[in-house]
Amino acid sequence: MDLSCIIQSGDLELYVMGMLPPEEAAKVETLAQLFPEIQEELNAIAQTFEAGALQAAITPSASVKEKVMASLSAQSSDSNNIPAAKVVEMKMEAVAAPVRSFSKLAIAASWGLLILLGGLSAYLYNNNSKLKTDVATLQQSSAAYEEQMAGLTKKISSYETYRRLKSDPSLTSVALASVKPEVQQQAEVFWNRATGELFIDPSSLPQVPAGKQYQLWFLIDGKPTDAGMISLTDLSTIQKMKECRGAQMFAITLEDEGGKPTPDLNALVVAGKVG
Amino acid sequence: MLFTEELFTTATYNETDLVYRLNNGDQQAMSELYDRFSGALLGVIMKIITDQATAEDVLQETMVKIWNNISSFDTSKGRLFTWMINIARNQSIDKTRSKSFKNTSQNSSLEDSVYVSETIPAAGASADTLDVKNWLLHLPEENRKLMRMAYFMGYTQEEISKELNIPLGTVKTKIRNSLIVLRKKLNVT
Repeated sequence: MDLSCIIQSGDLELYVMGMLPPEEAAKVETLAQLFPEIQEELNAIAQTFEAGALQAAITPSASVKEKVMASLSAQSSDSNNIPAAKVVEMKMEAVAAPVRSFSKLAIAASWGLLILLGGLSAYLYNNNSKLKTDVATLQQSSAAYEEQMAGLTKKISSYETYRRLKSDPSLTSVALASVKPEVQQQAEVFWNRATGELFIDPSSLPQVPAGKQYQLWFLIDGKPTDAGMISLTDLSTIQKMKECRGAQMFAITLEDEGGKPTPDLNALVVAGKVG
Repeated sequence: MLFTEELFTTATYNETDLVYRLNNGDQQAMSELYDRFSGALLGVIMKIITDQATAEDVLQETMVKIWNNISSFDTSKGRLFTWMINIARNQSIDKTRSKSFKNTSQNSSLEDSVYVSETIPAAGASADTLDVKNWLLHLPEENRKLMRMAYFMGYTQEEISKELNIPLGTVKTKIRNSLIVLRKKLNVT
């Protein structure tokens, strides 16, 4: 896998500096988990900033540490007051203070116990439902992550196929351009003249309307022969087409689903001559 | 905590241990973290805010923020030091954009401060008085300005592109090239 285009894009640097938008940052994170080379590059970039920071270190005044540690203590004693315990204490005091008789005390105590139990069960119930929500959230994010991974893996494998086809000397690549000069639609065909093997990369073609489908043709002396239908399910991957021999030109038409035995010139989308 | 332990594999043992203890609210761990990193973080802050008293306030805010947000730090996605540097930078940049900061005359403006900290000694000064603490000085002037805007001033790619009147793609390329130079100069392998 050639990762140099990702490494050289400058995106990894932006990621470490926190300058990438969230969706792009998530992509970098996924790539880093897939490829150790990316992770290494990210580490080297981060280490550069860390080395810069260490080189420029300035010792703070002693009082700063005291202030920091004091504010931590203040915060943690705040959070030690758990609401459930507080409720019980207050009720006990309020009821117990004005009465002396044993039975009233006993009643008060059992009220206290009841409130305590109530508080405890409410606390446990809340905790339990929070855990359930946490688990659900975790499951959801892991599903989203897997989906993203699958999409990415597919993209990478399609990119790899493209690179392999493009660099294969036995294949002739033919760019198919739009018939209208102002429209920037195109596709690329890879053809092995010797074996007749034929591939198409339709990823830059526009989405087809419902009920329609792209059909590939090859032409010899102006006479078109069907080279197969382009799969609708995945326009982003490279597809293998019918065997083709002696082609002088390739063309794609937009036909009704299933295709036609002969093309309609009005339905022509892109075309290209074999160089 | 069981499942977080699996994520700790990429970090060094000490960092893992420190993060684990911080997540458990261990104040001793915070004290160790402070001793180890406060100088470097203050250095980062003072690239943005030259007044030491104000910078130390920001350092305190940064430390408290680290303490409060340690649970959102994910060791599998990054390094603790870099994460803290980014908090310090953001906290400083926020400070320079706050009203109270702008209203205080003793605080030089963001632009000024960044230039002040990068003043090159006048002719005649010997080479060893050059501010060795300013690692951005390793870069040629144009790239230094760009890195300063991106890293210490919180400019977005688009803002840099507009301000320096260069295409967006060039911003990225220049940032990457600067990092390659700095990597060599700072001996990062």
